[in-house]
Amino acid sequence: MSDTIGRKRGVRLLILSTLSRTAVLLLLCTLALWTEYSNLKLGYNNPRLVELSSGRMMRLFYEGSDAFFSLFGEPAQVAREFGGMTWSIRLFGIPFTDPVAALSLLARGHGWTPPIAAGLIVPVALALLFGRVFCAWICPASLLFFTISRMRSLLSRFFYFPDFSPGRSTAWGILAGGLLAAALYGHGVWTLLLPYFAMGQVLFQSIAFGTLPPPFFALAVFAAADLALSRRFTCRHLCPTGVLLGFLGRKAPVTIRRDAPRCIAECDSCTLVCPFQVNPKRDETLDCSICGECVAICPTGCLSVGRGAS
Amino acid sequence: MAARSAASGVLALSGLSILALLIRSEAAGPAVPGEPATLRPPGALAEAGFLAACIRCERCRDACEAGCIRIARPPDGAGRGTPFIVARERGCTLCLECTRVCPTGALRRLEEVEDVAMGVAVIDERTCVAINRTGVCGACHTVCPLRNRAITLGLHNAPAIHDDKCVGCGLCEEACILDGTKAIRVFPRRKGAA
Amino acid sequence: MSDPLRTLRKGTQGAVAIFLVVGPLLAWHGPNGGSTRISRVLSDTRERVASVHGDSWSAQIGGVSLLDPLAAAEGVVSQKASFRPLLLALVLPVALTVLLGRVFCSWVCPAGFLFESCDSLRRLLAKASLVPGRVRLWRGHKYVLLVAGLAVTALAGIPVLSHVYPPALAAREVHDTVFGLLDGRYAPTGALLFLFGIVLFELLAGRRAWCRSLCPGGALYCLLGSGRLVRIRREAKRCTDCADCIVACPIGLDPMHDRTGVECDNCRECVASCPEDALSFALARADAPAAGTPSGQERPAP
Repeated sequence: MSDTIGRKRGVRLLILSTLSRTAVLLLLCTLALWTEYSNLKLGYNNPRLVELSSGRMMRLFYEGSDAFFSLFGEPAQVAREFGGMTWSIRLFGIPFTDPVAALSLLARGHGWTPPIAAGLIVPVALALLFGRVFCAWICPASLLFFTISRMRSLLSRFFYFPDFSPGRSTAWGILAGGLLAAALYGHGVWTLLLPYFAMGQVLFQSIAFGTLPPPFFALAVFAAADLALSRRFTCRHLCPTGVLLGFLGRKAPVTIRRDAPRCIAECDSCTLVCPFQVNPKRDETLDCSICGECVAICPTGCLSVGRGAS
Repeated sequence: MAARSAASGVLALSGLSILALLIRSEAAGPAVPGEPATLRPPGALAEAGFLAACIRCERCRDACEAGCIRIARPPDGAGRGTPFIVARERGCTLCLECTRVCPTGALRRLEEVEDVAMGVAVIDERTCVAINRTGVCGACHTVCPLRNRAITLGLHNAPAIHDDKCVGCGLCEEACILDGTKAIRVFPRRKGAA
Repeated sequence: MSDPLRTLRKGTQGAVAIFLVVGPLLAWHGPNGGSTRISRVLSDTRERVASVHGDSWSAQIGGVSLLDPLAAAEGVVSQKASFRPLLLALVLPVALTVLLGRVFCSWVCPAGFLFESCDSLRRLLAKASLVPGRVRLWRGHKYVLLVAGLAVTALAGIPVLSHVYPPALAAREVHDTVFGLLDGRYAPTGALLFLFGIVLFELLAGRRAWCRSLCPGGALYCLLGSGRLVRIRREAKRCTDCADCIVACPIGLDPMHDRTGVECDNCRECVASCPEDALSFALARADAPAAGTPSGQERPAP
């Protein structure tokens, strides 16, 4: 009885996290459009000039957005309340900053402005409380990698997939190298190093300009690595943000909790299924993103989300 | 009666000639002191023909969508009562309404924006922050009605003008982020004008 | 005294004067070049109210372009070329003038309206025993001025008459003042002084002295309307030779002896003044035949 309840709980977590990431993806697409609208508003503020410079379709889009935003107030003002991508975003006028972006600013010798500092509060608090919850619930690129890992497991009956695990130090190395490169060449290097940033750039540029920018190739490299090297290779071993958030959330109070008396000694399914190589069986929850895979697979239903064992 | 006509005629001719000389000398200078020449609205004839054809009715200013057309009044040069544009204050949005209302053809009727030839934008490479790499910009490109045709952006958003495409609307000069002398300025030219 | 057509004329003059102020107010683009709420309201109003733009010098009413014939004459003479829209804009004003005579001066001209407003000032001056002037200048000066002006315009290649033509000046000054005040760029010019000068001239030299003797536009309208079809007609049987009409005529004509000639602007002041209703509009190509001095010659008012 209790095992089916546990499984249902896990499936619900999986579905919810997928929905949440899809929502983020859609939000990014919308923001790309709105940012383009804001630029047109700022540059032209005139449908005729929008048509002249960017064509008939853009004019229709501009006029539609104008009408839409007018429902909530002064269009330019309303559009300004939203903007950006996972790297740095404004929603309802509230700023959010990626911790890597904040570090990159320091690496380039810039201080934090009040909105940047304020934008750190929510991401850091989330990491401190819930660990790498960003990776399973927000990161739009993880949808891609999630899909690839499902493909791997489906095709594993026919093909051999290697499982190469260089360890966490690779990601720390990429973070350090990225900061150095950012200091030398500018923040732009992160569009090639952070999967979700690359995703955001690809979405933005393909929607707003109709072109595929260089980050598309970075994304392709990540996908190839996931397919060829190991399951969730990018998230586990390459993503600097992932390792940073995991470090911040190493003592996160909310994580996967194991009801030890119900756990079966011979079973290892939770450890095997975990995309981030967490070991719930041994109550090691470093890097846990609360994705719900282990909860869904546990045959006894001894796993749940709550205060960790430690 | 013949004597009266002759006296009256001599008086009128001399008075009006003095007036004409006065107006001509006023019109010789640019609208804004220090500018090389006066930027006229779209479709303007070459300067002498324009001054002859304009009847100083100010209809172009009333029709102007952007409100960029100003009418010269004596402290300004350019000929009192004639229209001019100060691009750094407000550029032309190329609605071409002025060319449609001009009753005398001083502003030729234009249907296509590409036919406008008010002037041409010129970039001062020493002061443009994107070119001298003291900052990041692209404002001129963002506002250009012929974006990616008249102005294209290069490395680090450095703008480049394609003067065969630039119509001289002056929106870039208005948008340029520099105070005082702008890094991109519109110089009058009238292509194919009589 | 109440004559509906005369009331209509006063109404038209008033409407033109109001439009001189309202027109630029509506045309004003608002602060920040038409991007603000106020300017959107203005442009909406402009589209709703009427498609009327411009002033007495050059206007557009419901898609029909109109031009003062003097403006057209200057434009053509100075650029030595004609322009089809310019000729089209002339059709209505010229046709009206040919049919009705110099009605622009009495029905539309904003300077004429200004002068008429001075009449009450004249009466005040008269009451204060400061008799306003009653100089009689030769009416021919205005034709000379017209010809000289067009000649200078052609030679200089720049219109000059628009700088001495009161309705154009008045309209431009009002227009520039409204725009200047709204934009914060207002600066008074010599044209204002000139306008003040001709108002003074009106008071010192006599009623409509400018219109009678100096106005180049008036001269052009007189010439165009010399064969007008609508004229003041006197019913001789009713006329008691009281001479009220002669006193009433603002431009010093003599309807009592059927002498209105090319100068009459059909203002109907004489019709309104006649106690016997002997005067009225009539369709005719010429004044009634009358013995004596040729038509158009002024008579000293009693």
